[in-house]
Amino acid sequence: MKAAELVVACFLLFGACLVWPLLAIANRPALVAGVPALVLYLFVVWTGMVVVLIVLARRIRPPEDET
Amino acid sequence: MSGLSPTALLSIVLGYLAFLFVVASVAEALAPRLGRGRLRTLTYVLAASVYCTAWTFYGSVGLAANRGLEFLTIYLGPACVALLWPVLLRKLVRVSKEQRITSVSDFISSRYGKSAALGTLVAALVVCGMIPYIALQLKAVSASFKMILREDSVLEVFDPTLVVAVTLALFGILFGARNLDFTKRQTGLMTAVAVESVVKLVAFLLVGAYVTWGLFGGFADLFGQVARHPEWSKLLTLDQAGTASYPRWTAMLLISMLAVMFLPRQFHVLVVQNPRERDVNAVSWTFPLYLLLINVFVLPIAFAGLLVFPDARAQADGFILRLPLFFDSQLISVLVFLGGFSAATAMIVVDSLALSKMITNDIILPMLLRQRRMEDIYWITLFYTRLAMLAVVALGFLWARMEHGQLLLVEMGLLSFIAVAQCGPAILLGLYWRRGNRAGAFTGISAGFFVWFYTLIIPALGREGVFGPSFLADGPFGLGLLRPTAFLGLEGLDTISHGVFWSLFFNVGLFVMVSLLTEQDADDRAQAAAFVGVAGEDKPAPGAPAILSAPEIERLVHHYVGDEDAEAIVRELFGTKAPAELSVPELLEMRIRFERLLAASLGAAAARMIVEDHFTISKEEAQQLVTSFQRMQESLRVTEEEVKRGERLLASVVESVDDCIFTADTTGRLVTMNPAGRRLLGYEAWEVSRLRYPDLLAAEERGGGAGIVAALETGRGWGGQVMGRTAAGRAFPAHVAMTSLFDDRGQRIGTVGVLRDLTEQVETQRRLIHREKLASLGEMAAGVAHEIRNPLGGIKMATNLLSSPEVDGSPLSQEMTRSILSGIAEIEAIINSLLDWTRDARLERGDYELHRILDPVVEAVAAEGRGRGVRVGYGRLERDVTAAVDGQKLRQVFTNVMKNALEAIEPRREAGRVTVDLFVDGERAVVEVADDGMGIAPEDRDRIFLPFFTTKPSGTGLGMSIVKKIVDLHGGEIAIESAPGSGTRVRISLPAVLAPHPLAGGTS
Repeated sequence: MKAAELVVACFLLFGACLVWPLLAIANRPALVAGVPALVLYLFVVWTGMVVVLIVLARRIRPPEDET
Repeated sequence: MSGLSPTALLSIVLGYLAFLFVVASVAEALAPRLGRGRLRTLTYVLAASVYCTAWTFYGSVGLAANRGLEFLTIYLGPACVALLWPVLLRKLVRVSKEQRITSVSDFISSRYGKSAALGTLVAALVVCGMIPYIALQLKAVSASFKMILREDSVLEVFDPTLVVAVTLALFGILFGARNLDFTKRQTGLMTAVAVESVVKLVAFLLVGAYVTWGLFGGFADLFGQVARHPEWSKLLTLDQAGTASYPRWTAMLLISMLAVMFLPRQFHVLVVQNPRERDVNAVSWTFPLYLLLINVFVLPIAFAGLLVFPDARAQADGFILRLPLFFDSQLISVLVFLGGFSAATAMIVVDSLALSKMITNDIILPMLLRQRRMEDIYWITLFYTRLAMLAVVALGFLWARMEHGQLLLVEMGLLSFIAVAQCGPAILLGLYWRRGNRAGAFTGISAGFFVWFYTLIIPALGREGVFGPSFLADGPFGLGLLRPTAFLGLEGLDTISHGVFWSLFFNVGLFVMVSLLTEQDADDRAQAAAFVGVAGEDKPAPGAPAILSAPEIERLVHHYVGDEDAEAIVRELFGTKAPAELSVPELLEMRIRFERLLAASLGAAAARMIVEDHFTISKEEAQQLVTSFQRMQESLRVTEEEVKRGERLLASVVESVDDCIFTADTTGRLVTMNPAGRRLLGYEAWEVSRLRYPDLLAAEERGGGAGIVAALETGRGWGGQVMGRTAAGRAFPAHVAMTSLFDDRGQRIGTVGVLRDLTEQVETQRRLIHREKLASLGEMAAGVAHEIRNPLGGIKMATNLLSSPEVDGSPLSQEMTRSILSGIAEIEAIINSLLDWTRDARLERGDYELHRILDPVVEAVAAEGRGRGVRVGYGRLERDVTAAVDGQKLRQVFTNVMKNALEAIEPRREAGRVTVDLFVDGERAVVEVADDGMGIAPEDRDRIFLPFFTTKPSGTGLGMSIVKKIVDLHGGEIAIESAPGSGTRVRISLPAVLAPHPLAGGTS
């Protein structure tokens, strides 16, 4: 059950990062390191999700099936 | 601006398609050797990216150029929901594998009680939603042809799109619909799709890099140039005029989250074709990564397109291909073209395959089965599946060619997403909410689709000019509240978020409400349990006790699965057992597995219909089944009855036995005691549980009780003679046997004991000893009597001589001599009776009429009685009473009894009476002698037959003892009734010799 709680928590956290109001923080017409702020923000969050998922995939070991 | 010649294009297209066929064929051929390793996982995770279609390739760029960041939601949503996959997708996969689910509609139908109607509904709606999506892909392919060709006028003569469509359908048939069982690995198809995923990603990354660093000076340069155009740079923010509002952004995130799992192609690749459950972990991080990579260059390409073609914003969909063409990079152009082509073809193949499955299993098959068209169902189904594939592709092609309905590419894709998202609530809630039921799912999905059509498709059709503008502006019949774009007056939202909100609102709301308000039936409940509480907890549907016979199952397998696989399946089903060896529960189990196997090919609803149908068809078999069930039930009932009978027997033995039987727990406290025990010891039933078994022993035994406890605790039994103790405290001799009780595992659970009351036994023993003593006393007495008689004879003779007058005539001596002689006579009488008593009695029997024995005795006693004033005579006299008796001895008996009666009267008065009765009572001859004398004291009555007992001042006390002995020898009985002061009645009964009754019709 711990695994389920963990993934739901991650989902809610990143889900919140992807919608208003958190989104409004980055929603400004400015370039950060030559890249629009919102674009950079979204891709950073995205990369964060992939990293978290890699960690989750290693932590949550499903019981061996088939093999 | 360069381009390809028609010949070059055609060879590239056909070459690529041929390449796909080769890849798929090789993969099929190598499949057994590729086995289960990493390659299979890699194929799986790459194939999952079938999500990225031509829409991603061309549409994203177009959308980015026109509406800014909005396109990202289509990929951010799935990336975000992938966070749930290690749990959610895993459960989805596990349930689907267990239930052999083949499609979204199959999943919903299976979850909600294998309902065929629900499956048909979902399949029809999803197909309607997806056909335009396929049209979109073909249109994109067609458009890319147009762009890459040097002279696009050729297309008016010959459009290779048709060739592509037909080839893709054939590809799907060859590598996908080769077999009806879609849960089997489609290695060739999956490998081809995986390869296409690589092609499109590589193409996109290469063209992205080419544009970003080849045409421009990197991201900073590109975005720097865009920043100088305020109209374009606002596209890089949200919630501006012309960009996505926050509600639209959120709505699109939401639907793409649902779509990524429930699009027919996604479900097929992610769930149905999942090789191992644990591969879910791999796909949950590689898939978001793939989406991230394929989206990195969308914005640079879009803005590069805007910068290069400032006036061509409306044709932004083609930027990705037009840029390399414009800059004469033929290789890049071809690569982009192939990337887009691969994205479209992969989507078309997998989607049409998944849709064909839904169409055949959930729409066509239930119809066929309802019409009872069961012949060659395997081939018919396979034929329909292939036909459906062709039909889906053909419909898409026709739609793409229609004059009307040329909606903006992206808009149509989005509408398909929202349509498919309507399946989401029923599936997700169905996985985790047990109460969700068929009625709820049906209502929710129907309402969701209806609202989707009303709020999204009608406005789109309206914009196409299919009907007048007043319907949209004023609502149907002028009802403003029903306006499709402002339903119930909800304004301020764009069409998409408005449609998403209302469709999901009604979908989820009605699903939940109707589920709460209606009951599940048995099938629904069983499937809910199987889906929600998955992980091995696999319950067969209750109320489905039908059993197929083994040969019938074998026949059905061949019938429905195709001979090719039938053998393997039959082997899998039966294992090593011969069909005849299967027991009824095994057949039941097999029926469930058979239904699952069938579901893999035909869908859950059709499988249920077939399996159930086959029982109603064969009446003969149904009869056999009923008979075997009855027999089984009977045998069960007999066993149960026998067990009960055994229990009853045991209980009645324990209840009725005379000994005290008790059980005690390990602490020695009594648990039960049978009624005999409670009677013996004088306890009430409720008192038993308060006792410990030492309480049953007398105080002086308590010491020995310790020995009992020790013996029981070591598991040995104990038995021996003790003094028992009743509730009242009376001690009594008893025998106790106690044994420890053990359970199955050898654990001591208590004690059972038997306590036997020995009081009577001890008394009998005492009597026996007494009798033995008496017997030896008798012998001694006889010896003494014998020894005395001889000298007494001498004394008597001498005394007789002395008394003769010749010897001494003095009167005194005469007197003395007479006195001595009378004494001697008395001694003789005593000695005689002693000898009589001890003499080895032998009867000399003869048939006597008893009154002939009685008459002289009565006469003699009557004469004696007259002297005392006592009347002796007969009362009731039956003269013909005969018995086989020793007359001599019996005379002695009667004399004794009558004399006793006479003597009982003497001291009282003159007018006494002794009455003698002789009669037959049944088979006994009875002589009763009654007197009205002084009676016998109760304490003397038992002892009256003992030798040497007498109440009279004279007499040996042997008289009645001899009477008893003689009567006993005759097999008779003697009984005395007496009340002190009112007389005594002695009853002697002997076995009578029954004279033939005069009226019985004898020979006389």
